[in-house]
Amino acid sequence: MQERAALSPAQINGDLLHFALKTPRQFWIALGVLGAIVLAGVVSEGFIVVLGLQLLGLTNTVYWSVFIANFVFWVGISHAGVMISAILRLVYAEWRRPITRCAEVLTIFALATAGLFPLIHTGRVWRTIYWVFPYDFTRNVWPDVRSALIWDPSAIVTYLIGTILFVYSDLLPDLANARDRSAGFRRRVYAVLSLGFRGTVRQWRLQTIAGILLASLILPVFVSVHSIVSWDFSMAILPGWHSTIFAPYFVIGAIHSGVAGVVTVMVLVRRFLRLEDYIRPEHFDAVGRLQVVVAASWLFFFLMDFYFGIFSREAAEIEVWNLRLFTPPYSALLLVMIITGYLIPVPLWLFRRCRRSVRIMFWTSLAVNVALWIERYMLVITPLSYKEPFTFTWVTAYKPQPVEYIITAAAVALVLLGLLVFAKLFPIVPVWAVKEGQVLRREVRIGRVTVPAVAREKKY
Amino acid sequence: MSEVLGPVARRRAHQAEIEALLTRPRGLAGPAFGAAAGVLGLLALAAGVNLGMLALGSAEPRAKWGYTASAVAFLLQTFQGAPLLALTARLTKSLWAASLNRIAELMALGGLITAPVFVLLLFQLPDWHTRPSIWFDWPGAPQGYDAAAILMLALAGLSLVELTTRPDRRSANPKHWALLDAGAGTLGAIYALLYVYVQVLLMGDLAMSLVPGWHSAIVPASHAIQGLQAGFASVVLAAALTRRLGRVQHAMPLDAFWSASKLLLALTLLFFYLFWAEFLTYWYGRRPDEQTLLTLLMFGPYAVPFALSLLLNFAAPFALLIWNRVRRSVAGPMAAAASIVLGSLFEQIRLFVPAWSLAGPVRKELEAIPPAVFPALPDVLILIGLPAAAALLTICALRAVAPVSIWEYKSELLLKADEPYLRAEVTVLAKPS
Repeated sequence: MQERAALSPAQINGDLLHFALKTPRQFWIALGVLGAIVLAGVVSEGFIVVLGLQLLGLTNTVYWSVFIANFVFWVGISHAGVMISAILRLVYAEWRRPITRCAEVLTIFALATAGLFPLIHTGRVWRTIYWVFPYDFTRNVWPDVRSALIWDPSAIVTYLIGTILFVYSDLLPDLANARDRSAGFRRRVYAVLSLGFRGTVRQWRLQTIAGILLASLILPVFVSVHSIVSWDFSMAILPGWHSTIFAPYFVIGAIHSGVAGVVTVMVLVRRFLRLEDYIRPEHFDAVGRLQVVVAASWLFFFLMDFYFGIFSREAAEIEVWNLRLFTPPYSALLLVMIITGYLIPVPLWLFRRCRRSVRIMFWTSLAVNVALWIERYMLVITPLSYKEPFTFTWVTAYKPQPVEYIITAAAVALVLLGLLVFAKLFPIVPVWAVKEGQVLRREVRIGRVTVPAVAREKKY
Repeated sequence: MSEVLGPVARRRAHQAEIEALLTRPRGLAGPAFGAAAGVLGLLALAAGVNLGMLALGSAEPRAKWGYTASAVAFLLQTFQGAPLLALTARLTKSLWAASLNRIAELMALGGLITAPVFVLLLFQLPDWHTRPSIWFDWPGAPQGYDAAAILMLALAGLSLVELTTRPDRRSANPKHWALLDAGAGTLGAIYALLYVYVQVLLMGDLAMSLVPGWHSAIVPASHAIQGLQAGFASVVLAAALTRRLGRVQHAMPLDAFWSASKLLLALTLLFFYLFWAEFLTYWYGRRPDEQTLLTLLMFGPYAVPFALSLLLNFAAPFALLIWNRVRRSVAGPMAAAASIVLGSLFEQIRLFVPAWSLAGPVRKELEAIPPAVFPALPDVLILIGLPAAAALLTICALRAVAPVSIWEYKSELLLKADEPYLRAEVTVLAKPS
């Protein structure tokens, strides 16, 4: 962290609140483009509701399609928020300061988008209500609480509420700051949202305690969410799905894609909001190091899933891996997954110069997310494509249809749109945290070298 | 000197005095040390004799090797898992661990005990042809590859000890320091990779391949991660004992135990998570072969070691470490660490003893669950004697080099300072790139 810039509170206010208080023309262009893609997705969904699931490429065996892969992918992306924010906050990692909010907000929009996919997947959306509420008292038809499909919404809603609270408690000082620097209707809105935050000692203490408590409480929820999503699969006795490693494997994959997602957002925010003084190469360097460890763990879990999948030499398991390894298009997809998820990015991240290059970090983070989307696709589709002897030998391979592609693209646009609108209304880089970082910033002279340092509250 | 727990300034004021004490720690010499070394040596000798008798006896029944395999796995979890604490601390530039790194790395000497016994066990394995295994009947597998891996791990551990103790044994110039910096990082990374690899081989070849139908993919990964928990706990336990017996309280501040205990708490939760992920998948899946495995490993003849493992690896340390007051002491983390180390032993017993009780010809399914194999006197002597031998090596090394790495201790003091801030005092931590 050698290149930390000394910034005055006024400069920080000006830079970080600028986009929230002034609207450049590019905002409307971006809003229009992303809105149009989302609209195309909404229209496609309308077709599915009216014409039915025949528009999808579902087959007799592949009844969970690309929508479920999208669901798992976006739940995975949502893990970045907690990973970056809660864990780094608890371990007092200084470099977290400018990137925590991007990560947390990405969590909210990714999770909300993920939540849409099981609904879209059902075709007739309104029928999902029958899974959650008892709908026939006379015949005693109740939702099956032992079903992983019931655990899922519970976990996701808990995580979403927890994350919103986490973001909101963190946002309060900045809302108060925006209130004090705006006028008219905008000021009234910020005044209501800031809940009377004035920056008294008591309020700061409560805000800090709330942040630490929420960070600690949300961590188990974060692990449980993707574990529960993984159990949707592993509880089924299907070759390729029924694996004990799925829970930690899904979680580490989620962290891999989530951290990469945060890097992508960091680059976009840095570039378009001109925050080069705040999101600096040192931050990419730190995230890059984290990604080396995460990517290695992900590869390890992938290899364990592979080795111990074929370990027992069960014909069905070997058949599924045969499909993944040697049958096109899955064999090509697997190759792309390994290359973009590990072989290209990790060797680059091993070099400090590459980790500090914003461009390389942007493209490698995108590559990782391509890999992780393919991984989710392979995990969902290939075991279902396994052909049971005699019964389904006539089944043709699953092929995603145009509406599935459009809705998948619309999901990406929806998350970006959410981030854009959030950044327009609220500071996307936490102003108070950056200021706090400036206050705690020190330098220590050791011999002829000046080493960057940080002040910490004494613990004893 | 009074009981100094943390303040850097006071430690810096007494730096020369502390260094002198570290070079000649009072409690690690004299008759008490001689007595401890004597007892450990006798136990190690007893284990060696019994191992020799086991090896010279008839090959069957192979169940007799179950407790030896447990002891080897226990050593891998505790002694050889310990250096990973130093590696993690160096990678994350955690200054709090400076006083624990030396003990963590010296425990790698346990590899001198683990490696030969591991190799011996490899030659007791039943016929490998058509056996479910990650090797798929490769020539020379598993003995050749497994032996190479465990020997490389032991060698990496020894190299790590040699490299990181060198500045305290000899004077160093700037080139040496640069080499040390790069070498410790690289060697540490190699050690970590080898450690995970050996854990996979240990679980795959010395346990899972022996039990028909056991192909739980999470087991090698969770065993490696549990090795972190047991390894870190061993360091905390050894450091707390050294601190007390070696009277080096000033060089091992409370801060180190406090921070280590937070890691232990996280790893304790991880232990339960990984156990739960495996248990739930099998329990919910309701496949008959998996239900049989659950009975074998958890609820049947080995229910007692399983319950003790869960209690000592999760329930007890969690109940202790959840309290900040307990974490902020030396006795609290030490008690939790002792519980984890003991729990790790029971965990190895419940995994390896049933596995070796089934070591025999290749079978497709586990038709009947064998009765529990209780330890005989030679088994008990091996279970106690092998860790005693590793402990003997560690305490002998502690006499030869300072129990706290003096060069890291000095670096810590250079990079840490106290300063007043408004009406309070803050610690300033420097983080060189």
